[in-house]
Amino acid sequence: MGRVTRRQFIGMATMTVAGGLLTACAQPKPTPEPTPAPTAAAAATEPAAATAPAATAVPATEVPTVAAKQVTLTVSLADWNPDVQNYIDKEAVPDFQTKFPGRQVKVNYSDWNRFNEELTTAFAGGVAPDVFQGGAVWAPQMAQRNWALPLDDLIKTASTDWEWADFYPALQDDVTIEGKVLAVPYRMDTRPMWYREDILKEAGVEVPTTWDEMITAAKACAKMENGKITREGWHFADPVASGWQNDWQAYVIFLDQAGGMLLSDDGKECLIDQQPAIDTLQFLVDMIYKHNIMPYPGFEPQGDKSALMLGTAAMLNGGSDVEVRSLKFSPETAGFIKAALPLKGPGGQFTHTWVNKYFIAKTAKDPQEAWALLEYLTAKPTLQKYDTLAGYISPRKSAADSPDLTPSMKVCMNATAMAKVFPKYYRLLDIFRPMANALAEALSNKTAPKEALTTAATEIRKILAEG
Amino acid sequence: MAKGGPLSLAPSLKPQLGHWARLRRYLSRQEVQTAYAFLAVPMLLLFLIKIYPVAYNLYLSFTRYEMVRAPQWIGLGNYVWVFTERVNQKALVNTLLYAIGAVPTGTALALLVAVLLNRPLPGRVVYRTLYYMPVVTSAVVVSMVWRLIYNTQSGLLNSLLADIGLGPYQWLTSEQLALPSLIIVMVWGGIGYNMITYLAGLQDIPPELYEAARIDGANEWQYFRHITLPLLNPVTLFVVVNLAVSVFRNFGIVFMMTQGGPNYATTNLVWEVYTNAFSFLRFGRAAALSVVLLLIVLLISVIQFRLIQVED
Repeated sequence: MGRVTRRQFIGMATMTVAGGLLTACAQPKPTPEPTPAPTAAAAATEPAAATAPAATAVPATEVPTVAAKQVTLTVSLADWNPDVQNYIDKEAVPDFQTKFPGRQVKVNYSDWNRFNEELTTAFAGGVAPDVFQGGAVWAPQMAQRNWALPLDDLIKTASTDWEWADFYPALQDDVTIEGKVLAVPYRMDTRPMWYREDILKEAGVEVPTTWDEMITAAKACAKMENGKITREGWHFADPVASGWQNDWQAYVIFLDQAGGMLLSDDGKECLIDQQPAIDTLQFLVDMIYKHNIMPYPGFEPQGDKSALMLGTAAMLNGGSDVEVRSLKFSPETAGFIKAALPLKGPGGQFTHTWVNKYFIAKTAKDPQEAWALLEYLTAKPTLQKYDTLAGYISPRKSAADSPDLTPSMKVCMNATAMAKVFPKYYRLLDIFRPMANALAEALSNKTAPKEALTTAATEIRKILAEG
Repeated sequence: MAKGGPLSLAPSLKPQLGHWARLRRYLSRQEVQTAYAFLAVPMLLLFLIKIYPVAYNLYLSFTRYEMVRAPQWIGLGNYVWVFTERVNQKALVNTLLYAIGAVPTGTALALLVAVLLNRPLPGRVVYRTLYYMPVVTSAVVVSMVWRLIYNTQSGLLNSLLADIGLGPYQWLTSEQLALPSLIIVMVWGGIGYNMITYLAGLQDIPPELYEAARIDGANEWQYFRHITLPLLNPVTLFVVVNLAVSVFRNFGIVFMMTQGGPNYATTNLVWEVYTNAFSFLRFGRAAALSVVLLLIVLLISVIQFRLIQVED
């Protein structure tokens, strides 16, 4: 073989590199999706743009004349578990794709820990999903960032079955920012009281209904060994499971019951250094150091087993998914775990609800198609199935009569009538942080509640002033 | 080619051509053009992936930018915030504490393990592999396992300590213990890599030196103190600086194990960059924090290079 000259070598190397680049950049032709046979119902409601005929015979009266729109829709979910994922992948998506031929749905399963940065990066990169889930404080944020598409006009195009009026008015208000509906709720995480029936029975106490009754019951249920609490009469919050918001989320329920507020209704004034908030924090501090009901930090979960499941706590305020998770991860004790209506505090009988919702991205290529998907995901049967599998409370009034509801879930539904939501301020996450710090300072007895909350209020007012 | 490199010309030509003419002549050569053509692609990638983002980040650090509208110039406002905000001060102190805790400990342990495994022990390959395994294990897995080990009520560590009448300790939930607990995880994760570096250094020490010392009647400690340690100085310098840089940049362990808590006890500069950018969408502030972190890491690197030059 002759010697390769430098010129020949450079030429071969260049062609190799160029060939590699061309191969990498070439888009493969999409494999044509097997077109499903149109259902009778779909055929009845489909407009003129019907699907191309598949192997199944199409009735002569419905011979399609226009090929179906080929659309790929992306949806990002943060609220899911394996059962939900199975339902979405195996039932919901195929059903949607059958009802809307030509539409292909791609589901991205994420989690709350990284969802914020995923979406931020996606929006910055121009690759945001068409439909995405959002948390309890997201509606004002989405409005401020201009990421969410207003849905008022799209809701008007919804089928009569769908019914916007079926959503609780408080939830409709929660997703309405400056007169525009920005999202559709898909779940409520209302937090009633949960208790271990067997532990309360063993201690000889009734299910408490007020703060004072709770203290009495918790003192009876708590256990001490060698000066250390081995069973919490009341479990305040998980210490590290989901980060710095744990204490704050537990505190806000007591704050609601004390008649306190974080911000004024217009979101302009910080109220956390007012007396109800201070008294609430003092109440919690007393639970730890005066009544010896619970340690701080509280007991950690063991993997997926919470303190209630393990029997290391007698009572807590918990989300509506406590039952589903107990059945899954602790079937041996799940039968003893029951829900009760929220406690009555000095300000009334209240609890807090986290309303999670679906948004359509403002950058969605085809808003009408994205709405079709969102409408499907929040339709009564889909939402019912999703919420049941996930252990959430449905945001629809009609779901209150569902035969799938267990007694504890019915309690959760009833507790929703007593639930408060977060104020509509787009920097709530910024504000939660100094709050969490103040709570940690006070609950670990380093700072008096008044001083801790005054410091937090100063920082929060700085945040409010920054705008 | 004339002596002195491509730009050098024969002495007879030097007085006849100016600098730019020489440069043009140099660049007109085909092999030079070919070389730069090949360099162009990686340089472009370097610019797009490294240089441009760093430059843009530097620009953002002087602006208020929250993705809602265009960046708004605010001068040094973000840098004032970096050094006056209480949480940032805590993060900076914690970052230094991580370094003070993890670097000497990690270096000493890596050296000890390397010295022990440099001997002709049976099964030393197995031991070296075992020590190296944490390096190749994902930070997520490492963090999750250590969270289980550290669990206050049912963790392995407290269970073992309970057998000897100690504890239970709140490894991750106590403000006093959380940071040292994370330092232990960082050190554990880094021993293997630094051990390999030290092993390479130990292989370079001439055995004749040990032989001579043996003849002179030196013991093991004297071998280590007067031969091994001094000759490993450059390696130690490398290990220390690399470890310091990696500790300063640590994010995965904090994210997975404590999220900066309890009560900011384990937060560091990187965690604050992340929180400000992705939780609060305050990109200007996050950029300023990252620039400060970059300067700290650069300072450490400069010190390394200077010290290596002094050693040489």
